Amino acid sequence: MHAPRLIRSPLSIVPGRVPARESVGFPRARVIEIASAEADAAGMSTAVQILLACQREGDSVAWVQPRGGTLYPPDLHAAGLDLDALAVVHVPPEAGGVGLAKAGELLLRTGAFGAVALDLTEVRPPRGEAWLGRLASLAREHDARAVLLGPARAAASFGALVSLRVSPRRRRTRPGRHRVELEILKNKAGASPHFEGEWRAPEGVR
Amino acid sequence: MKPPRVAVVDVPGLPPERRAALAHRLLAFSPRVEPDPERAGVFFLDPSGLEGIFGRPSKWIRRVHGALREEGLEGAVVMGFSRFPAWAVARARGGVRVLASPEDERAEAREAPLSLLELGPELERALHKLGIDTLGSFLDLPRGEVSTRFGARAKSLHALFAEALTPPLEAFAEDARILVEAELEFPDAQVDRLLFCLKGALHTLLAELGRRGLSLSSLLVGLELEWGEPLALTLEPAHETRDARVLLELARLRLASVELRAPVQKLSLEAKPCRLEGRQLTLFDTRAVDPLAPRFTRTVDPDAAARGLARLRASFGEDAVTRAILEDAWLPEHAFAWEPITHVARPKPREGDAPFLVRRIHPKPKSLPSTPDGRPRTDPPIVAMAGPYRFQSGLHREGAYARDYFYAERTDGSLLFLYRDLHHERWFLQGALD
Repeated sequence: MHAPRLIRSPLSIVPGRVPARESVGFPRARVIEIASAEADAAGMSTAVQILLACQREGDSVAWVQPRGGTLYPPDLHAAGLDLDALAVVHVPPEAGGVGLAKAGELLLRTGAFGAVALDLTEVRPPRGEAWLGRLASLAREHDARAVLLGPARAAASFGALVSLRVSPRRRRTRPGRHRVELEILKNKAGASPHFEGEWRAPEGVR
Repeated sequence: MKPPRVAVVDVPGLPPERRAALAHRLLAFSPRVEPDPERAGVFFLDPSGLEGIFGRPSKWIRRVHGALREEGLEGAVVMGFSRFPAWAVARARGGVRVLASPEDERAEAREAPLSLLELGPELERALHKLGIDTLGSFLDLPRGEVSTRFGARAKSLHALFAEALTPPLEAFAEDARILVEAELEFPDAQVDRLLFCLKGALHTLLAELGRRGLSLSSLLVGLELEWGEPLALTLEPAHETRDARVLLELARLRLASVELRAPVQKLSLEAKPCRLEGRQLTLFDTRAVDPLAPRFTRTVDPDAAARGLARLRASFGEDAVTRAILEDAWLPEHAFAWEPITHVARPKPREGDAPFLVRRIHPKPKSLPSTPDGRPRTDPPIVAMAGPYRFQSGLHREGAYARDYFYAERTDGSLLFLYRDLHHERWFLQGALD
């Protein structure tokens, strides 16, 4: 007599319908950190692709940056984002990383946003992990993505409550075309994000 | 029998200085009162939905008429179906009346002498010469002819009295200041205690708004300090409200972001009043239940988003929450603008595009040193440059520019977006691919 076997079967997916929780491979209800440790990183481009995927799922999205930040809307438009459905929050510089985290919390708490990106590349993040805990619980409660852009050349993660930490790097394939490869630095969500195909670049980039 | 749709209060010869006071008095009988812009003593009221408060229409108009008498005014109150015919009846017949049907209203209005209807002496004289002395005979004239012979104003009056033109009732907005002041027992700078004091004043303010049947579109909080300049904070809720909790939360967020240089000794709250508009309440939580639905997986509660954005404005300033507007300009720093928003739209992203590498752009380009051979110097050094792409404006205009843009690749793989200012012969870093 044979011992009972656990039979694993692949999830059936209706053709043409992508499970909403796994579009572009970045899981919902999680804190996602994008590390820009290398000079050839594509951190902001990756964040924009996550926001775009959320918009394609029908969700509004938000970007939080210090006042006078470096977000460049014409490129976001070129990437396909609907700028009318992108709330951009400008936090006064004196509020620092604490202000950015607070803005992220207030946005996630509404439950109206599918993704909120915090641009922490130029500011010191808040101390401790309480802010991450609040972001993680709000992301979980509202089935949203909290996307953190880490400081340039940061060696360490923001904290243990980050579910997925990726380092996107750009590589030229031919003039004006690039590939972005994701190095997974931490993966507590069991996700497998990756980008396929070539990326366009602004006109004039070789 | 059709219910009346409009009530007219006609006080001939009302002094203009008493007009606003009477309009306020009439607000006690209807939330929608429109003073006629051309006739000082004429007010149109919306009587719909008031039976539960005032009883039958005849009772309601008697109370309105009683209010006129209390003010020492003599006038007519007529409830009818169309604004200008009803007013013609009020002016011609006077008294306190509820008209039975639109047909009765029309028939009675036709009898009204034109001399009472404030058409203006010129038009009145011209019509009188033709033997036209009543509203009925005026309305019998073809409107096209009226326009040709007597002008646009006569045509407009003809259309109004003939009910060919029925403009919606435009209720006047309450513009009176509603101000509440509260003195602190001891000057205090502690936010929680200030909020407690503010809460008491806020309830008084909201009670006054409630008494007037109004709501609040923004709240001006004045803080008189023990020394130094007073502070003024403006709180704007997501939509008009009389909810103290919403306002207190915004006040807490705003006060937390304000640095008080001295203890506060007096608070003042000034409401910007507005009409309280009814809103549809959500009966069900409409979040989608289909986890595989590729689109519209989240049903946005627009009020929740708007409340969140209001909290952000309270925390970080009125212009903190924006959307981007693309501008028709060549220079990257002028190619967009930020526009404050109170709501976020449903997304309509483009589909099917290949992913796009975006640039970070510095709002103020950073100056770069040059090498002796005139190339930009960076650390690590640049190994390749693509360009130039020249952006140039008119040579002799103010603010003229001439820039040669380049993409520069450094040895570490960074792709910089930089330009040479041809007027100043200097290099600037505009941004980088990220």
